[in-house]
Amino acid sequence: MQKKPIVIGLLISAAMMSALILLAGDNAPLNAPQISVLAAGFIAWMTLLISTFPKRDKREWKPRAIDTEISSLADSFDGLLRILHEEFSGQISDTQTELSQLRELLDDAILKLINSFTGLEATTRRQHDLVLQLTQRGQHGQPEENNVSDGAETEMSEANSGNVTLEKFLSDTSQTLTLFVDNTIQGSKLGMELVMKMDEIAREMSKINDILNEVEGIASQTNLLALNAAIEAARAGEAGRGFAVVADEVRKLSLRSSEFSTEIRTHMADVNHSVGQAEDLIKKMSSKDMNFALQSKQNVEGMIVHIQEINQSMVEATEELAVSTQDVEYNVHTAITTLQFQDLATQLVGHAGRRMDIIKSIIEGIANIEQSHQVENDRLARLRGAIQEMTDLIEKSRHNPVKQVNVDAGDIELF
Amino acid sequence: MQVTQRLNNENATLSLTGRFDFNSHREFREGYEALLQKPSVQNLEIDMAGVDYLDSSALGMLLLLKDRVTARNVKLSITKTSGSVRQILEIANFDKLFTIS
Repeated sequence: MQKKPIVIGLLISAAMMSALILLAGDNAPLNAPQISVLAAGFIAWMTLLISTFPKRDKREWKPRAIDTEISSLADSFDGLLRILHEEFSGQISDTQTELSQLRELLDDAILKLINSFTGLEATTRRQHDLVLQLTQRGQHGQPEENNVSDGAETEMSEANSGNVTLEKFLSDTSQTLTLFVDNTIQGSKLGMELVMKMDEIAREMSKINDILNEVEGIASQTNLLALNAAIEAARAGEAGRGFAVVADEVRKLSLRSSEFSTEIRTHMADVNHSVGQAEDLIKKMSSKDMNFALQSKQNVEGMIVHIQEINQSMVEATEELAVSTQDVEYNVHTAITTLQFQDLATQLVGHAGRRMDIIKSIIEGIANIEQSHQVENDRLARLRGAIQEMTDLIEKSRHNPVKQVNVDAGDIELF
Repeated sequence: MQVTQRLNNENATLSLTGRFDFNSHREFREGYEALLQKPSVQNLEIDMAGVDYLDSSALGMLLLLKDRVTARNVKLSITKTSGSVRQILEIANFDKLFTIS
């Protein structure tokens, strides 16, 4: 009857020993539930052990064999306490080191995460602004219209207002083309007017030709007349000598007149030739193929359509970008808010550390009792006191200052 | 280019066929001058149905004709244009100066 609780106690202690050895072998930190299980087992064991002592007090001292047995039991209990103290102290200080490492890791990682998320958000917004600037510049050519740009940039863009945008360039090209076509046509018109005038010259020349024919006829008749006059003068003999001189002079005049006519004909042939050459030159000048203008106009129109398409797709892309930038900003905000669990985690780690301290001091208290076993009753009372104290402390440590906390993000429950 | 004249009281028609370029300036001019000399003529139609090519001198000739008919107070119209001829007339903004169909 007396031995039964002791046997149970021994069985429990054996179980605890094997649990400890297993844990030590694992080399893993003890977490709170594991420690609680061990502590509960320890309490159960102690309670069983203590329940045997008062019963023994009431009994009379009987055979020596029982004393010896109790004494050896106390020795093994002391040994067990020593082992417990050593193991628990080692595990607890390891756990505390690991907890502080965890806290440092958390602090460091969370700080870096927040920084990188903030950076990500800023970069995305800058990217968005840049794209806006680009597209607005492309569309309007006047960046002053860009409300996003700051003062310095506006100044700069005003200074560069001579910048040629693609649309302005095309409109200029179109205008230049029209001007060029107009000039070409006006040049051709002038050329054709010149040709008309030259036709008139040619007509006048042919009239002059007709007149020259008349002049040559007159000269030829005058020549004939002079010849007749010379014959008549010869027939008159001495009296006609003077008239013969006059007739000869008239013949000479008619010859000279014929020479001038020939000379004039030669010059007129030269003029005609020159007029013909001039007409060829005018032809070269005023006869221009107009297909170049057709081709250029089609190119410009095609380009305008193409640019309108590009602008449209730019507008669409910018709108999409704005939406995705907002998404990124929302997600980054959520992430940063969520990362504020750092404070809660730090508090929890601190709390776990304090639990460790309590367990450590309890173990130390029990170990101290073991070292000063002089009087059996005194020792029992202290042991009981220590167990009471331990129960209180364990009860206190159940109170968690960081219970069931929601992070501001709302939809994420961390604990 | 071949030029054919047709006269129906006040309505005169000049039908052109072939390439309308510098080389045809005499035929063209003689053609319209002959028609404009008729005092009855009030409307002059240039029928371009047979024209497959225009150069800048042809445009110049049409402008000269325009000046000529304005002085003579005759209505001028360019008709039956098609394809590239029409496009060239449009590029030259002739649709603002002439009645073109």
